[in-house]
Amino acid sequence: MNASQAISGGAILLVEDDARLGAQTEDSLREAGFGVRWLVTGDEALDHDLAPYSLVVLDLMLPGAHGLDVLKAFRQRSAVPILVLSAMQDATVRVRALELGADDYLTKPFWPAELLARVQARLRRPELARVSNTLILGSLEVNLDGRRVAVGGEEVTLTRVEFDLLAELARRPGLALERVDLAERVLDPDRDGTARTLDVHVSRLRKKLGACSGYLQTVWGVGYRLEESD
Amino acid sequence: MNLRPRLLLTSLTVALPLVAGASWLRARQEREAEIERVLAVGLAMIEGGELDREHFGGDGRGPRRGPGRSLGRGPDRFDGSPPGRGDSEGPPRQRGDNESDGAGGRRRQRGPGSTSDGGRLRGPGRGRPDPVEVQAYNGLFEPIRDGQPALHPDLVEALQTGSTRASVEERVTEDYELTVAMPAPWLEAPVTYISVSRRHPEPSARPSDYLTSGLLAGGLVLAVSFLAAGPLVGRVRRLTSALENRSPIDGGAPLPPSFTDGNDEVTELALAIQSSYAATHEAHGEIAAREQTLRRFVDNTTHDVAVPLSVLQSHLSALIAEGRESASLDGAVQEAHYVASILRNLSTVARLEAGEEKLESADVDLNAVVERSVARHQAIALQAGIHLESSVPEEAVSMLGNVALLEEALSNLVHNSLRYNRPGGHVAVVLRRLPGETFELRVADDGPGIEDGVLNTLVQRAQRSDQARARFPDGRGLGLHIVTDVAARHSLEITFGREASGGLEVTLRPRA
Repeated sequence: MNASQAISGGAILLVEDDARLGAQTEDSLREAGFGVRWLVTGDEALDHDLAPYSLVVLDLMLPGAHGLDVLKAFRQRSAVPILVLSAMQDATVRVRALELGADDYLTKPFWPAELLARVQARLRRPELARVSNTLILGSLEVNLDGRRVAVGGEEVTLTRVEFDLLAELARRPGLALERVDLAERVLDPDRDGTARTLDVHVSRLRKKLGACSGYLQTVWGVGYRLEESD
Repeated sequence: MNLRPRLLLTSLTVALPLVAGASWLRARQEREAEIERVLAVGLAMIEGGELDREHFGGDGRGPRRGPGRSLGRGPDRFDGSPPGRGDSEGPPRQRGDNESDGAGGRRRQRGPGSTSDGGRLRGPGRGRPDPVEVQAYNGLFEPIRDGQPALHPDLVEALQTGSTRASVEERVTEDYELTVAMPAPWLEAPVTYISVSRRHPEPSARPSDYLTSGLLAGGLVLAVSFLAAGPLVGRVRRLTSALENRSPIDGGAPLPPSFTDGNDEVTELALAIQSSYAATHEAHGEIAAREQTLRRFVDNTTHDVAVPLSVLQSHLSALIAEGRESASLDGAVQEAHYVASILRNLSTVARLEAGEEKLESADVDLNAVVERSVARHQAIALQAGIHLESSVPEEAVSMLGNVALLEEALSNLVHNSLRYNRPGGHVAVVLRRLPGETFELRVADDGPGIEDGVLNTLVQRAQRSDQARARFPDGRGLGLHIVTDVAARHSLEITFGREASGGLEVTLRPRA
């Protein structure tokens, strides 16, 4: 396909010399909504314009220029995220690739879903990095500066511990936070108890959040996470 | 210790006792010779009849010799008459140039060949006149005449113990007096013991007289040896420098001719080392070539299997995407994942055991390692219906190490927890900061766990890859071997425990 075509998930440059794997990878990326330009040799890739692409998936064992040389050339002229995809298991090669500026490294064999998860994580990262003082998650609104919480537009009154707990989770939405760390951040051991009492505070907070109580998820083996649920 | 100090020390260790021993021996010989001379003079005085018999007893009977009794020092000049008779024949009395002090019974005489010097005798072999005095004592070691000096206690003691001759030297006023005592060389006389004394301004020979000159000579020889060792030490040092810059592995380049063209021991040493280097280099080359071949084989095999396995996984994913779910498809997916894991592990273990994976001293972002390891297994977790969760601290945790090895180790732990779990089960990967700039990386699951008996020895079993594979033939041992090996290389303490739900909990912490 042509990289200039309309692409919903972003354009990806795939450099892979194996015909079957290249075709399947291209298919799986397209099915996930990405536009894909597939190159087969290192020499082709060296001269390719990277401007249209949101991400590069680069194999290392290529005919023509070696993948590490291509990686070095790409990094010298672009900051586009590069995900190295290689059957080379040698740890020193992986270290070298990361040193040359690869953002991620995936060894073959791999599942298409694994590659997609890596690609999506890499492309989503800038959005995750944007932290606002007010988090709007579905019908839940958390104003971190004003220490105000609203569910469906209705303000909810929270205790100090409950708000601090919600704020900690809201600062890193979608991520599971370890319960002991969480307790240490929001609980005063003299007044609020220790990690054992965290569950009690969470339970009370869920009740106050009403329709949004499902957003406050218990993560097995970890702690809690704030995430919009269906 | 360097060669020269060692040479010096060895020489001193050997030379000092030798010099001391030789000095003692030489002094003893000289002393013996001096005693012989003094005795010879004394006995000559007695046998030559130069001493007045009155000096040997108050009864006027001179000493007599028994029949057949010989002094061994001169002709037997006594007739064997019984002792104790004053009119009997004693040794011929000769007044001559003898003189008696008339008080202590002392006689000063010249020995054979000596010259008279006012009653004193000039000792043989000495460069100046030596006064020699003869004293006589009875069987109780008492002086024969009043006023005679008592016999020295040391001499008495020696004679009492059966010695045939004893000597002692003392300082008398400004001279040294050497006194030799012995049983009287005749029988049946009141005189049982005699002593002969000689005075001399110098003492008889002592070990210290020879020790000084011996030490001086020895020191001179040592100094010469020390200086002479310089060129040898220089050669050895140059050889050491030449060897320091080369390795038997890097190359068997010959040593410079200055080391190998000589005909001394250093040359032999240099040639032996060169020969050893060449043999080691050759053997190392063969081993390296074999390892290179093996490594190329592993690389090619891994590559050749990895690509079609990826294609197979894509096909399986496509079947799942088409909704063709079945137990067989699930099993195929699991096995494909398992084969992929074994492929990675075999390659990693081959490199770890070949010592190729050197620990990189680079900062490793452990948050990123956790994210990548979890992402790698998220697809198979979803497929298996297992909830795979992770948590990392807001501020990234980092450590020095090899990012690829750490990721491989963590991936093995995650894979292990997924493989031995059930649909609906959970796996959690948690990275936590701990007080004191340290951290804890925990992988927990609610699977069936491991029996307590096995759990306690898991680390030991996993440390040896062959034992690990034998103990866990399903392939889990290889992954655990990688985990324990990587942990050890990174000074991480690994503990296997039981999660509250009964599953397995593996924790990694930096060693204190």
